[in-house]
Formats: sequence, C-alpha cells, structure tokens
Amino acid sequence: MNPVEDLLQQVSLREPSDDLDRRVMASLQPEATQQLWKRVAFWSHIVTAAACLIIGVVVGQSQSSNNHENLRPISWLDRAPEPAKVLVPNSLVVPADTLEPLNPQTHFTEYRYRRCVACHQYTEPSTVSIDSSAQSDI
Amino acid sequence: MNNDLKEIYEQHRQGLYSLAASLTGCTQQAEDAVHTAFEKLCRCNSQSTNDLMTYVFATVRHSAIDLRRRQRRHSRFASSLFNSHSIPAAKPEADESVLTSERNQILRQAIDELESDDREIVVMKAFGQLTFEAIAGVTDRPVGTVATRYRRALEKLHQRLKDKL
Repeated sequence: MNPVEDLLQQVSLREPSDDLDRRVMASLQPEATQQLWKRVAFWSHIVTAAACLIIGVVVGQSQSSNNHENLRPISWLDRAPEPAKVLVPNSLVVPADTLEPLNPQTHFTEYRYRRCVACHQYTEPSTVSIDSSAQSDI
Repeated sequence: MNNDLKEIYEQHRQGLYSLAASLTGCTQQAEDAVHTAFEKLCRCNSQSTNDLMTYVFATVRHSAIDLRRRQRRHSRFASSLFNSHSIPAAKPEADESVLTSERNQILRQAIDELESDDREIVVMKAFGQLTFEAIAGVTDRPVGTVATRYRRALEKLHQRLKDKL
C-alpha cells in the first residue's frame, strides 16, 4: 500500500451526527406507511367501483321497472287519456267495430273509439275511414 | 429496496458523509445532501439499478454538488466556508504524538487543497472504500482516468507531506 494511503487510513474522520442517522432512517422508514397508503388507495378504488356498480344496478333496475310498467298495455291504457270523441253526421256510415255510438242526436251522433280486442289500444282516429259515399237521406 | 438502502447507509455512512463534506465544504450541508439524496432514492424506489451502492454514491454526489451550487449562488462566502470546514478534523487522542497530529493536520490541508475532482476520488477511495470501477460509475468517468487521477492526487499529497515534515 502506498504510504500516503496508509496515512489516509489513519486519519480519523468526523462521524456523521445522530441527527443525520435519524433523518435518513426516517426517510427510509415510511415504506410501511407508503405501502399502507397504497393499500388504502387500492381498496378505496375497489369500494368506489363497487358502490358505483351497485348504484348503477339499482338505478338501472328502477328505470327498467318503470319502463316495463309503461309498456304494460293495461296500465298505459288506464292512465292514457280517453281518445277524442267524434261527432259524426247521421248521414255517414261509420265502422261499427271502431266507433261506438254514445249519444245519438237528431242529425249527429257522438261516437267513441273502441279498444282493439287484441292489443287493447284505441284505433288511431286517422286510420278510421268513414264512408261518406254511403249517405243516407236525412 | 429500502432495506437495501438502509444496509448501504449503515455500511457507508462515513464514506457518503465524507464525500458530501468534501464537495460542499460544510458539515451541515453535507448532512443535508446525504439526507436529500436518500429522500430522492426512497421516492424513486422503482428504479432498477445493477449496482445500488454506486447509484447511492452518485445520488449523494449530485445532491452535494447541487447544494454547493445553490450555496454559491446565494452566498459569496461559500469558498471560504469550504476551506475552513472541508474535511472533518481529527480528534487527537490523549496519547497521540504531536507529530502525528501535525502530520494529520498537514494531510487534511493537503486534501483540502487538491482539485475538487481529485479530492472526491481520494475521499471515495480512501474513506468510502470504493473500487476504481465504482468511482468511475459514480463520477461517470473512465476507470483509467479515475485511477490516474487518484495516483496523481496521492503523489501530490506525498509531496506536500515531504515538504512540510
């Protein structure tokens, strides 16, 4: 070994302070804390995702049941407004399966649209054709 | 990785601290540099390194150089501070001869007066017990250059001691 190297080995050095040891160890220590936070973050994501999923399912099911209810013909018909009544001159021939006479007058008769037996829906007024050619004498 | 860092700190705390002290010229800044370096190392613990010890020394070195630059920017007295505190002073033992004490004093001054690049190599080799390969990794220089600089620094120290004693 070089004599100077030998001398260098003999030089006593000032030790780093205990404060430095504490600071460095404190820096190295938080690994456990960091791991804990990582775990907390991971589980919080899982819980949030699960909560969102549950809320989504509940809301979806609720909407689905509402839609289903809306699609029920009877319920819809129950709540649906009555279709307009029509006043038809007695001179015209009306389709009896579509229009139901309500209030016969001298020259006019009030009709109400009948419900379809199959689908329980009212016949669209526009689809009802009244034969105006078959006029009866007033 | 923190366990590895802890182990390296415990094994090389003296060398790391001496390296930082030789670069900053201030004991407090040296401690700050070492602490900052380990904080950085803990933050980027995902980084994979082949030689962690070299990486730790390099990080401490960079922290110390950063601190030194900052200190120079904020204070004009950095160099004088460096001269007065560069290498930690030895505590003379009760039975230590006056000659040994004087020789150590001269040696410390001689180390202080080395060029910064040479001094850090001497500190890492003599006090940090690093190999030339490791020092080359820390300083990002070729191994041959590191070895040459080290030998040249030893010659300077030898000459200085010969002149003084």
